[in-house]
Amino acid sequence: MIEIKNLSKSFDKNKYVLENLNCKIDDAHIYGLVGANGAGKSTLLRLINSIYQANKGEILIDGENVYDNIKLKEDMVFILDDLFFYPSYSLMDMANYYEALYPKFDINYVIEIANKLKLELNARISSFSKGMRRQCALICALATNAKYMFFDETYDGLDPVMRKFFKSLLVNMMEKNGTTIIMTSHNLRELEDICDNLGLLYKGNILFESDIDSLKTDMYKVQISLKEDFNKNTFKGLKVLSYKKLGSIATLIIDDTKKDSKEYLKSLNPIVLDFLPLTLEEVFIYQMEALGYEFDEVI
Amino acid sequence: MNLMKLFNFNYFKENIKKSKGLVLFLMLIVPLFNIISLALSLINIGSDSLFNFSDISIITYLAMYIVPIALAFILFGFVFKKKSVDFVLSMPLNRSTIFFTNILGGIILIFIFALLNSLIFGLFNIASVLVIPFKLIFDYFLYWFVAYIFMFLLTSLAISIAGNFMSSIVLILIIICLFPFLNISNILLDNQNSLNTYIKCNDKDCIPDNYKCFENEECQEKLKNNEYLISLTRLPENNYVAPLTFLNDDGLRFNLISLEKMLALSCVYLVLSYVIFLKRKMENNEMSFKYAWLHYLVKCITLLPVCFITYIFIKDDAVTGLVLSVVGIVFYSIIYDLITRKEIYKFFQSTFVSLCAFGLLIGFYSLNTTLFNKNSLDVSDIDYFVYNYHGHDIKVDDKELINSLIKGNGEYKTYTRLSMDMYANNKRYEAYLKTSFENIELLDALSEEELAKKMQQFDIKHFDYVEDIKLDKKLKKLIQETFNNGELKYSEDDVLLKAYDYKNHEYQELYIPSNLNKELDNYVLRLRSLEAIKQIKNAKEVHFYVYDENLETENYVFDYVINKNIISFMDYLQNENNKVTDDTLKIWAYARNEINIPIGNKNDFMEEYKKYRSKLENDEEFQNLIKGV
Repeated sequence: MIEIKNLSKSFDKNKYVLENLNCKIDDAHIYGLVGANGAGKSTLLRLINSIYQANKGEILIDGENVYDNIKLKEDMVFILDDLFFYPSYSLMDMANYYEALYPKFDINYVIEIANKLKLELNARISSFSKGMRRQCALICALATNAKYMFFDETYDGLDPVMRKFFKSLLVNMMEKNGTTIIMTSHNLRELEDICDNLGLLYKGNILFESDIDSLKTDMYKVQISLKEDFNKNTFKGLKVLSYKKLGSIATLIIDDTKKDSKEYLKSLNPIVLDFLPLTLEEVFIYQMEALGYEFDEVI
Repeated sequence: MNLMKLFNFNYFKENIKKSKGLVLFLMLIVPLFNIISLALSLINIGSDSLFNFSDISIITYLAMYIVPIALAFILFGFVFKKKSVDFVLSMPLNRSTIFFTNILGGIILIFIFALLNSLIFGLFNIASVLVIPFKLIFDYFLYWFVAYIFMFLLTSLAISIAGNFMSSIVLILIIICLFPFLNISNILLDNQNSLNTYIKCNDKDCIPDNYKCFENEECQEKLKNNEYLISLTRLPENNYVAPLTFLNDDGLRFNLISLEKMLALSCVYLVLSYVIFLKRKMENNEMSFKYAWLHYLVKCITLLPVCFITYIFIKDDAVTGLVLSVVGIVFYSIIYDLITRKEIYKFFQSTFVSLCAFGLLIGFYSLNTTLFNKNSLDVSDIDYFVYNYHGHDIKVDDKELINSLIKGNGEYKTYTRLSMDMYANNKRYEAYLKTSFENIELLDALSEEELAKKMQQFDIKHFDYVEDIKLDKKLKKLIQETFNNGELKYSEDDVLLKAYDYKNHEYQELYIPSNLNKELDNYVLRLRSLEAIKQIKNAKEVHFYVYDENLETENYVFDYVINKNIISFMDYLQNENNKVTDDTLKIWAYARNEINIPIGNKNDFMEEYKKYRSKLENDEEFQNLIKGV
């Protein structure tokens, strides 16, 4: 389990990128970290991977402080948003590099996946396209068989087919090895079909986190029209996160944690009653609004 | 702390692999140049095939400004790029492992580098005529191994502190030059007056006779205080660390103090760079320094040499110098920022700091000159003089003789000038003394006494070479017998043979008059003749010259005659009759280089030469040559 306690990091005096951040990530989960540009996603991952030193607080993995802990780092792999390869290196050279440092590295896995993707093992990576480079980095990371994998802007540069392919590899890895995967993106749609937990990073802190299933099932959108005139107070018995009325039809976002709102709405004998699923993005937007944040300001 | 635990071989291997071409180039470029240089020495071999520390070190010395610095940049340069920092630090390594793997890895590479060069020298020593004693090769290995490690650690420290390449280069220069520069500036400032130093003497034994000041007011003033003008030049210290060897006035040589300094500083740099590397904020790359104050501090330190130059201007012409200096400092401040930060950083604040530093440094130089630039010594300050007697350095620490040497600096009708090294208060001076011939006699007598003592302790076992001839048992025995029986006396006409051995990090030399022992003389003559024959045989074309009035022959004629009788001439050289007599002759042959051919018996050779000439009576070309056609 990854446990972050009171983590603070500043690059300039009095200007904190992360401030008193607390977070827990359970093992064998895929955790998505979302946030606007500059929210501190990459900084957090760099802190977890001992690239940066925190000004305050600590990061524990399985109860041990992670900073400069080689034993833990052998079970951690981090693929950055801005990829780095040595200038004249091929995929095979990079794989050898990882193999030299990661005890559980599986070179055959690299060869197998590279062959599947028709990536030339001995061609210079510098001659590859952006997407192919991302593929190389992801293959090397997966071949480490690390228990904790961190991906910053995971799918940047990958086409939809490749995204799907790597998503399936990640899921397999998690299922097979119990790997904990933490991925960041500023695009919620990229994460919603793979992550089982999501955290929203805003102004240096995790503003909101939840597991996706409950997020999606506990909230829904409803369009309703009643015979009589009605307003927001009509629904005061419900937890309404958002209320908008256009003509005779109102659109409501309802937090249905108690699972009794649908029955209540039906009891109002509406002329129109449509239950609509929410996208993850909408869930986040309405949750934020409910917490008092303006969406535009957040994402 | 277990260092071996901190060394990750796999990381080191991969780190080298990524720059294998460059590493290979750095490892091989010096050995390659050394091989070429030694091969050229073999081709152009002259009378002296003996190599000293400087001969074998020059290429290594020049490469010292490239190889260890480049190695440090290969191993630690990743800290300057955000992407590479992220990549390396995300690997299962911690900062200590990265640091020590790179440090130990660099040292291993330097060890291989030094060993490779040493092996090359050793190989040439064994397999060729070049003389490179193994003890000298060991010194080469030791000195340059430490010097390269010193430069490597120094660069690693600069990289640990600086945020980008340019700043680290500036820091390297500062770290190398800072302390020595303070020292040099002192000497340079000293030197402006030190050509005429006054020596105080209250004792009649050292007061110069007939001392006159003529119209020199300063001299007259000093005379009141019993201070007498002596021509002395303060010599700089010769114990600089290897990168500053060029400041040594005795050139490139093995220096134990320099070695100790480098070892001590290397330890300091290692600890400092380790602490700084651990504390380094890896997010601060691609800019000069994390903190503005550090940027200013480094800039101010770089002003040290700049202010030294401006100070000289100010000393000469205060107003113009000051104006020029201020303009220069402002200009320098801008250029420095542009180079290290790629921007003009807070112009007014930056300029203000630079000008404050300028003021402080000028103050420091003025104070330094006022307080420490003494141009007066007391005769009791003189520790000793070094007198060169037929190639032997004789230490003159006898107080009476020292007094006498000072006393000699008056006005005489006849006197001689004597140049000697003088040591006073642990500082070295070159003294150019007026002295009487009596003093020279005294010095010679003292030297002979010293040499006699040396002769009694002389053990030929310690000497391996006479001239460029490696001594065999027979020759050693011969010389030992000579010294045991004889008394060493030098005269102007002596042919001196240099016996030497590489011992205590330098060549121990003893000049042996060849006429001390006929057998020795003949033995050396024979060996030299054989060497000359070998070189003549190897040469495509040889020209012979002789400079002797009694031979009554033009050199072009002589050359023709010898060349036409070359076989007979070589036979003559090998002939056992070619033995040293009182009347010797030297012949020079010029092939690719000069060959010295000793002739032991001039009269005998003249007879031989006449025979050669008579053989050419029917040679039309020769006849035309002597007629001048």
